[in-house]
Amino acid sequence: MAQVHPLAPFAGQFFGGAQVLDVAASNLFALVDALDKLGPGFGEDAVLRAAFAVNGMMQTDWSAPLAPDAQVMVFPRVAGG
Amino acid sequence: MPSPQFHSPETVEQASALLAANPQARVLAGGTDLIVQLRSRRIAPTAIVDIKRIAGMSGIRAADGGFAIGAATPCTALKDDKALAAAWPGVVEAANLIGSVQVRNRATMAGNLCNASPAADSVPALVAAGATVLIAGPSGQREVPAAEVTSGPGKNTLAHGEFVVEIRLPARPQGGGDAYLRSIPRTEMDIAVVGAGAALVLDASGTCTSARISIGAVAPTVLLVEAAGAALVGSKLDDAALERMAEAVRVAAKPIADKRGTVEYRIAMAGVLAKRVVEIARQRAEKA
Amino acid sequence: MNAPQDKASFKPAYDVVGTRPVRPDGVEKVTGKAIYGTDHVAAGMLHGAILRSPHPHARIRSIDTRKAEALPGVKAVVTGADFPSLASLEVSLGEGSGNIAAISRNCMAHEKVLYDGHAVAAVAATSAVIAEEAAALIEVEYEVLPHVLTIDEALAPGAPVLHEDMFTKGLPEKPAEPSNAALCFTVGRGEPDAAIAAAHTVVSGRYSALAVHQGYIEPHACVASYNADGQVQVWASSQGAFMIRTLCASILGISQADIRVTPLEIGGGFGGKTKVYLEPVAIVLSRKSGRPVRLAMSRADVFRASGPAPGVVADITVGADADGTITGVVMEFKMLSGANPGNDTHSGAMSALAHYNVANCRVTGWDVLCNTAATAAYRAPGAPQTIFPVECCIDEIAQKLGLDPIDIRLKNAARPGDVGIMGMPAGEIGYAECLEAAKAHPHYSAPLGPNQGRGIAGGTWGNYGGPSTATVNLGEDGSVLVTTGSPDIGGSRAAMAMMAAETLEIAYEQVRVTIADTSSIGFSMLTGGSRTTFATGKAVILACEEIIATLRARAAVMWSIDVSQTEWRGGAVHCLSGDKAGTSLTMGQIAAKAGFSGGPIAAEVALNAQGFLPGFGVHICDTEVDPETGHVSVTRYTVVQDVGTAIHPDYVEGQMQGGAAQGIGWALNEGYVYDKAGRMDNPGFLDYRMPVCSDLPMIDTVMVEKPNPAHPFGVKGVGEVPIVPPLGAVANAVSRAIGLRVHDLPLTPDRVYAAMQGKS
Repeated sequence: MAQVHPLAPFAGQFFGGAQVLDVAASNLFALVDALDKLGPGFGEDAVLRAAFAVNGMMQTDWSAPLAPDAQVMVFPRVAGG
Repeated sequence: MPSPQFHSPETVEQASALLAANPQARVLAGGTDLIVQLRSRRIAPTAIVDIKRIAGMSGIRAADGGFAIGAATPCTALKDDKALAAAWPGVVEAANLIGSVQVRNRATMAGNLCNASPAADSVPALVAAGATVLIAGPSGQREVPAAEVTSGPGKNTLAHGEFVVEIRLPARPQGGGDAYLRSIPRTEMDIAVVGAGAALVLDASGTCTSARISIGAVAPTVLLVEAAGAALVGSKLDDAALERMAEAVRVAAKPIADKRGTVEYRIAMAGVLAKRVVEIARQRAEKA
Repeated sequence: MNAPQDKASFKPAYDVVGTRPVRPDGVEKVTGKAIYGTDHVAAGMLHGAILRSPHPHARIRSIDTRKAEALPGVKAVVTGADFPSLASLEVSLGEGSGNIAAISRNCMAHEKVLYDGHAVAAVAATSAVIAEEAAALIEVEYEVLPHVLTIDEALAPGAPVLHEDMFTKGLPEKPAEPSNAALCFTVGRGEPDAAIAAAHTVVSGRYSALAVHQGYIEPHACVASYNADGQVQVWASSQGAFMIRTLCASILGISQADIRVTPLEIGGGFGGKTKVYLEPVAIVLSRKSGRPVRLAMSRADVFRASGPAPGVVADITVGADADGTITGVVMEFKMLSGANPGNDTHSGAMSALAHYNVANCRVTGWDVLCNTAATAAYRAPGAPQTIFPVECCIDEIAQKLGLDPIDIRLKNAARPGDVGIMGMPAGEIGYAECLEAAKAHPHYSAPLGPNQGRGIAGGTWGNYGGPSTATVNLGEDGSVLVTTGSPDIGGSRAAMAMMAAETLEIAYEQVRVTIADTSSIGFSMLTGGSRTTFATGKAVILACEEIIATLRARAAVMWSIDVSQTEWRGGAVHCLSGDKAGTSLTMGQIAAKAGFSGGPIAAEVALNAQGFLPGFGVHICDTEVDPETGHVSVTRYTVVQDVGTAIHPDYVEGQMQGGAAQGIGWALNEGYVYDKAGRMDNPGFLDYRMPVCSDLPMIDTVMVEKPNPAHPFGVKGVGEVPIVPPLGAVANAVSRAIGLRVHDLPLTPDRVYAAMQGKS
């Protein structure tokens, strides 16, 4: 199970303020699907606004394999200039 | 909007007749104010009268021991006239603070004066120097002090059909020195928040025998502050005299608050700049 | 923001990378031949003009275009009614997302105008003069509404609301009423209130900065041509031709394959050319007129209707131990984002403390709307505004505790492995190295004169990677053509050529780089976020590696040996066995025979670049304040930055100097000023005071090169970081020069004078 740490605003908006969620997923696509079931609407929002870090590294390739014990942070995507 | 008619008269009389014939006509010398105002649609003249083709409009000549500066003479050219730059460095420096190098290659002091911005850089220096302006019109020519050419922001005292032909500066007096300073947030390419001009005459002992102090951007027109000059005459420009002079300047200043500065700041800076500009004029007078 | 800590593959020394060759686009630019936004001409082209609102907030009751249409020479007039009425649809734009309806309505108002300068109608005519005249003939009936210009006005009870359907996001519960607060976002950890209560030294204050424009010298401009069969061409200067394609397709309901966007040379962007303003309007004008149409902004249009970066008000409290360890930070800031929700609140909150280890902190950001132009990204969007108060507070703590301002930062600096506020351990970051380099720099120990003060500030930006495509083709003579879809805003063509040359082990001059139109190369995210040299560069390097593999395979066939018996060295394939052992084939020799083997030698790499690392900077600023006038002169300025590997050091140093110059302008004189009627009062470079050359000293640069292990040459990205520290560095220098803490930017002479008067 990957340990998912949703930060603001996602934790409050979709997961009832949960700090940690345990999710079984082979990659970030599967993880987003699983999270969408826990917090309906998250999947659509994630495409537009979420950034993911896996084991401390920013990961924008959602197809990359996810280790079973991965630590995943979810936070807002930011745009540069 | 039909394009304005464009005239290039070759004589003062032709120019005056063209201006008299059309109340909407505007004079073009350097064009650095006129064209900007046209393009921003602030003005929409139906005719433009270019005075640059008129003989004598461009250049500087000796006149009555002083100088006659043609109305179409660009600011940059003033620097090239060694005698003028030596006699009235404050005027030449003030004219060469306007805009950028490219702007000054076109811009003229006569245009700076007639555009009647309270913040015009060359005007306080001309007023302090005691410059006069030769104006031509349908009923002939007249000569007025520079300070009397403007009557308010964007307003000048030229009558219908009149235009400036030349600006006249007297000979530099024995022991005379002039200077101009302005306060701007940047170091160049800016417009005066406050400007101050000074023209002094010192005798051999260093006593001030004549002082003309002018301030810009702190009233509807550039002001000649006679009380400020009077505060210096008879003194050796000691601190007490300078402070009396600065106080007279602060009393005379009647600025507005706008995006370029507050009332309080402009009044305070008028005093500071007046002291500083007098100091530069003094150094020049002592070398004279 | 992290990267694998694997240094084994790292190459220590290079032949081309790190040298300073002439840029390939330089001659064309200095000889005036380069085609920028307003230079492109299409056959039969019309000239457009846009009518803009004189009101900051008004309902459009009616628009009568009849007089304009009747003017001879006018070929088309369009209004919001000519645009699809879009539902509120968001599209992903790579790094961020955008609400398409809002973007469309910013290009052309529907129903309401939201700021002075908002476009309400447009005209295409046979000349620019006729177009402008026609625009002036359009009669718009407005119902003028009350407007808000400041944070206090926007959030006041009963304030006029810009968007009736906007409810603050990010609050525990959806508010009952719509408001001008678009978003509330909080990040933090620990117990900041308790930590501050227990701190040895506490400083606090309210800091502010005004909205500032990116100030690119080239106004927005484009030409659009809509063909009768529905295919569209657009020529435009921007940071992303694909961004223009995506947005125009979404706004106008056109297939992306039917829009071909050709990037023109760009005269500066700095984040401000990551949006569309004119392109959809030009397409609609072209569709209506049947002719190509050029639209171009005036400088006043640029100021009133594009950019700026949001202004900010921030309340901050910082607590520290006696040794300078920062124990707690609480900051609440409000970004003034203009007419539409902005993008700077998240990044501002996440950047504020990203360069320090702070165990207890809470940073809350609000995105507040008002009746000014919708804001756009500007170099490190959001970070300068939130790091400025942090850096000022650290300076104040250092003063109170008698600590050296660099030492206190070193004590608290984030280092590799430290877990940041977002819960991620830092990768190979170089903030501490920058602080050490700044401390060792002669500037830091140089004596100061009377009325002078020295300010220090640090800062950071996360940088980015993302999708990019590159192709590499060999000419029959073996010369190398690199093609990307990344507009060159800071010398990236030179960097691409250098990375290709380094990879292929050939001379820089053998490589030429083209930036292709959107129908000639695969997708690349826009040039921004300091991503291009990292991400597109990686695609170029990988494509060159594919070329090498192809060349080795072709040579092996020609030599009848296994490819393993070949070696790539010095731009040629070397034969290691068989009859031809010891001989070699150059790229030209193999390319000349391409028609006898597998055909043209080409490679394309499309990737989603991972492993980007943040950049860090430390700036040293000396100022002298005129005690009688309040004028601030920057007398000496040094920029120290962790740049990863500098591919072309000139352009890296140029980014550092340019960012510093823009940040100094933000600190000293720049800022949007509105009159009481809500109209911008300084929409020109005369009264919007960017620094001119004589305002600045030569800006010294120190590149700290701590390579990024996730890039073949160690690239990190450099363009954004240098605008972050100057706000704090200048403010700290002025505070120390006048012996009084200044809080409000810009530090114009009248403000500094008033502060000094207040003290004495």
